[in-house]
Amino acid sequence: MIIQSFYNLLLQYCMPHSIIQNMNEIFANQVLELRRGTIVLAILSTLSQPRYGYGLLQALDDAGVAVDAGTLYPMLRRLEKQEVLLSEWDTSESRPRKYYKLSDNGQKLYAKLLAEWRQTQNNLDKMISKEKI
Amino acid sequence: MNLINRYVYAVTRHLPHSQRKEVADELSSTIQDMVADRAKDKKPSTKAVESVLKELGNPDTLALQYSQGPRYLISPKWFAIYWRLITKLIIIVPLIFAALALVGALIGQNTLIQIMLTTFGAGLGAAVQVAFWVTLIFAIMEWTQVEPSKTALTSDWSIEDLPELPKKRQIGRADSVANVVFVTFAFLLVMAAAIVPATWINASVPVLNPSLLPVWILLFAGLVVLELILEIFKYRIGNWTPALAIANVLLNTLNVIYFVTLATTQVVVNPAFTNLMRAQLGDKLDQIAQWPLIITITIIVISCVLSAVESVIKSIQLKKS
Repeated sequence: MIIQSFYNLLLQYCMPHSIIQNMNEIFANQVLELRRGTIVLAILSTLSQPRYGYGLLQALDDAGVAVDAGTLYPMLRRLEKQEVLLSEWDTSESRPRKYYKLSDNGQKLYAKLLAEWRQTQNNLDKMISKEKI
Repeated sequence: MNLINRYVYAVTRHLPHSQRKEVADELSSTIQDMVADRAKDKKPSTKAVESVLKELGNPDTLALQYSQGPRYLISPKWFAIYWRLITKLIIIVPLIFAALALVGALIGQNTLIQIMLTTFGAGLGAAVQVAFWVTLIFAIMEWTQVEPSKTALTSDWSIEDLPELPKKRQIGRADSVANVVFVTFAFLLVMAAAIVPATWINASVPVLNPSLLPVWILLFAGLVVLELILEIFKYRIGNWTPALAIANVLLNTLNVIYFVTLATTQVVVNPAFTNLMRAQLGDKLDQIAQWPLIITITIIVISCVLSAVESVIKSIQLKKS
């Protein structure tokens, strides 16, 4: 009896807190999904000129689309495997550094992705302005 | 530099050999870029290296990002089917094995503790086996890229695959199965009680009177067989048709007649068993001796009557609808 009432009290206190926690998690997850969806486009957009790995990291950071190294480098590898990017080692300086550039396929892909992105933006904006939330 | 090498090693040690050198070179180069950037023009210090490495984070997490293989044992493609199957099997199979073990343990004249342990052990062992083999088979199917059949969860769906609406039945399928299982189990227990010494309560004689053999026990067996046959018909027909209801009433009447006659004309409990109990309980035995039998018979009679009445009522409802 006492245990039950104590449990109810605990639940009443913890429940609102846990709901708020959930909303934060939900928001964080959705933001993650949004960024995941746009990361490839962001990377391709910076490669109008060949870039070193670290330079890519900085460019993205400067543009406000920061990606952490642990995500960026494996993704660059994957894109290279898919023949979207080409890579070369620059051995001209004291330390060899790897740099990336868009392949022909990569350029075509980027153009199509960009068009798709603009279309999506337009559609979403139209829909949102109609809904007026 | 040593710190950088150790970090790169920590990341690449779990990667496949083919990738290792390339990833190591690039990672090392990047880290050195980052350090040089942080240190501006000054000489890079250990602190700078440490802060860069901390920023990159746990090397194991980094290594995970590089891994390309499937990150699941059983993918969504198979998981729904797998889960439905295993949740059903892991209840049914251990129950069957536990029941069999229970009967076997009773017949084998073990103590109560031994019986409980054997039953539980059989159930648990069966559950573990089910979990292992079902999971293994699905994992193999996943790995060898077997596709689910057309009637499973794929997009090759057509209108013909739509199931028929379940017909409304008065007699549930699960109820029928449960009844059959229950009756069989009860029969086995009664047989064991009649023949086997009740070692699980430290008695060296059977609980039921041996003079009940063979006639009364055979009659009981006959009733059980009739009950099983009735259950089969109940399952097949699914509703309380008049014929089925009459058969049910008849069978229940037979049951009542049998049990009441048994209780009033025969000594059900083994006299040897009664003597043993008397030795243990003394005079108290006379106070409680009649009750177990009376209670059991009452329960049986009441449930037979209820069953008969229920079948008649439902049969009338069926006729009306």
